[in-house]
Amino acid sequence: MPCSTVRYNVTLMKDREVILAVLSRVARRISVNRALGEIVFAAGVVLFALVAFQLARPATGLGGMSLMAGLGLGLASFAIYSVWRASRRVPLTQAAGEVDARAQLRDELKSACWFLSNAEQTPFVQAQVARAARTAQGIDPVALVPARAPRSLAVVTALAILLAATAWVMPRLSHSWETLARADTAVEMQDAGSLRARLQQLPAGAEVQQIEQALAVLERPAATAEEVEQAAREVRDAAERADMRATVAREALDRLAGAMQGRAELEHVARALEQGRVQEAMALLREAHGDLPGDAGGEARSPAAQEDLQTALEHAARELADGGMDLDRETLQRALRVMQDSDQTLQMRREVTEIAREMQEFHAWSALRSPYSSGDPDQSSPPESGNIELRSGGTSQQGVRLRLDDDGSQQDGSGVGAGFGDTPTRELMGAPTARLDVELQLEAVQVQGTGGGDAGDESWFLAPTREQAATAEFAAVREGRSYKRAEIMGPPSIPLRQRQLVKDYFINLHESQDQ
Amino acid sequence: MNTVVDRQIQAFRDQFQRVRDEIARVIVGNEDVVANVMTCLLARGHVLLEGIPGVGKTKLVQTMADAMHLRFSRIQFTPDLMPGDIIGTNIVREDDAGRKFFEFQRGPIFANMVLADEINRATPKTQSALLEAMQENSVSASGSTHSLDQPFFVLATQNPIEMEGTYPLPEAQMDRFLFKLKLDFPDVDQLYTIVDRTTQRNEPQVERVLEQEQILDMRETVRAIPVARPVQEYAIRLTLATHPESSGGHEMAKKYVRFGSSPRGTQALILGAKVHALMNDRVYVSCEDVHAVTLPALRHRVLLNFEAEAERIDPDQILQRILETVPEPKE
Repeated sequence: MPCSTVRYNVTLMKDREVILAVLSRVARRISVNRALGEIVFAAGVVLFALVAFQLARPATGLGGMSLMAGLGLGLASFAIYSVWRASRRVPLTQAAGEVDARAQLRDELKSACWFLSNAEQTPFVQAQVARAARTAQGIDPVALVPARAPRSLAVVTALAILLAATAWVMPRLSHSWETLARADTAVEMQDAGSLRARLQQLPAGAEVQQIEQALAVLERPAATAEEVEQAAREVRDAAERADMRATVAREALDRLAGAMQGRAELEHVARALEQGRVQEAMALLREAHGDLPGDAGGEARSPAAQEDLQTALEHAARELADGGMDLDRETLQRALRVMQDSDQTLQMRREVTEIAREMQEFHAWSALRSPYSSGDPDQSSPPESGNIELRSGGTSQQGVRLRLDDDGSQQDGSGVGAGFGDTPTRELMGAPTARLDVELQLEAVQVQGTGGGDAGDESWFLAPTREQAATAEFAAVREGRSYKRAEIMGPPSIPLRQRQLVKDYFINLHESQDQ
Repeated sequence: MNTVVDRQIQAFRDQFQRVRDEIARVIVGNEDVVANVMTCLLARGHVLLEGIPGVGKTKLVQTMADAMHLRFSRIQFTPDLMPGDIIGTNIVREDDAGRKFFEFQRGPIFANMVLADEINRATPKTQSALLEAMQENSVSASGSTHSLDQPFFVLATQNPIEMEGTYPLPEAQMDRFLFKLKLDFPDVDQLYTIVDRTTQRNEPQVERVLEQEQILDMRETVRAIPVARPVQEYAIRLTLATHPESSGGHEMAKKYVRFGSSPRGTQALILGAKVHALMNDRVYVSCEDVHAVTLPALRHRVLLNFEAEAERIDPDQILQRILETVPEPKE
């Protein structure tokens, strides 16, 4: 039975009115505070949900209209529920309990309120109500229940600031997913333009043209998955072709270096060529013979001129190996041109490989990247062939290398076959490497009784290793005209000389391990 | 009208305080025990006092009887004590004409204040006779019912350390006592005071400060104190918290209690709280009053299980935890 429905005598009525007036004021203040708390709490929940939604959108791709509508509906329902909770009236008995607790009245008003509503009006009840009325008169509801900001207001404010920050700092969050896709495409177009500019700086050739066509496909937003995959294959093929050209150029340099070794005045040039320092070798050659032109092949040579390069190599190698003591200027110019063309080919291979590697960073290609970038080696090719096919892009690891612990210089052949994919070839083979044949030729045997010294010291002499012996025998065969073509490229696209070197190396290596 | 009530309450407080002061002249320390014994007397209940020998249990009862001008009797419970030795018996008398007739010879229970010393040493049959009188405020003998004088107040004592050859009170009979109080051993200062007071030629004597009629009035005043429903709810919550099978049972009660408090426990809480409220100049009972009398009112109504005894868990520990965890009603 509510307090207001009970009849009382005059004295009790007066005490009752005093008590109810105080309790009503306290109840109102409690209601206001509770409503504030409820509203702030509801706002906190709504803000938290919005912040979480904002932060989750980029990762999850949420953003559909139905989802937004559902979220808005849910939050609106929760807000309405919170407002309904906040608008509920505070019972006077609860207000009495609050006053008792805050003013430490030992249940005086709570008991009085209950007596007013329920109890028989005995003298003791009336006495208690009278005492409670006197106590209530001394109560200041404003001081007892001050209007204060809810504790969660700071959290809600922080959430609001966070929401504003996410909406301001993260523009992706405030746009639809379609806008995000357009933004991604714009970034990719910018990257594609940069790659295209780099391609244009390279000498014209089949590889460059092939990569440009593939790039055009990748730039097209409407490109199908099959087209993108085909473009990836084209890029991979171009990189492989550049690798093959580099292999041929390196072979030419090796042969040139071998021909120069017989001449004392060209010994240092040959050593530089063997160690892959082509630019230095050219400088040394020009320095030794000052009448040579500064840049015989300054203009970029087209791949169609490769036949001329081959002819020049043949003439230069033969004359260097079999010529008399005096070298004519024409031979030296041929050798210089071979070096320049080879160096240009190697540089172009590096550029093409780098561009091909960067192309896979396109967003449009990311979906296709995983099947090409698994790094799972294709075991179809035997390892001893020196040709390691990677699914990521047909890495052609031409040439066998040895790891150099103390050589940090970039060797000419070290980049050959750099992976076209996520896994670079250098990481597969280790840090800076040197070609196996170069290493083998540096081996020397110390004569007993003589002092130590570097290679080339008078107290040392170079002795052919088994590999070098095999190389020398193979070189003798190679000199024959009937092997003119076969010495460059074998049937499986692996140079015969290189295969022999690898074979001899592993035979020697295994024998050494057995010992 | 309120002035009359206020005067009545003031008189209650004054009389109560006078008795306490008078008793304090003889009894050293144990002020809470004295207050609780007074509470039981005014709430129409009986007290079970527990304490080691020599701490003043008998002295306390004697002093109270002297201070309140009540007829006092002491019954030393022994194994061979019979019910008739307590309530009385019919004896054959002869009138002037020589005719013989039976006359009921009243036993020591016919007093206002009865000290049942070491009640656990008597047989259950004898104990039951006393406890029945405590409950009914009357005794029956040979088909006749004899009412006991009011106020009728029993203080039973039992020694917790000499349990051999005793008959511990059954749970149902323990429940008849409103409070179970524990008399603590006095501290050093109190021992000095005890020695000074009791080893000189003139021991302090108490004066009669309260008449029998005044006690009855005070009892009526206690009964008139109203109790609001929220306070009753708190007392009921406390009672139910001692029940292991109750949904409101406390975790500790579920683990260590075999049987919780009976409804008499709730009555004891409310009655004790009423006296406590009056002592604090209030005409209503608050949860604080209930809190204050919970331990003496419920400790002998909570029956522990074997696990509690094995772990030496005391009912007071359980009740203390219940008091800490059971919330007071908000409205």
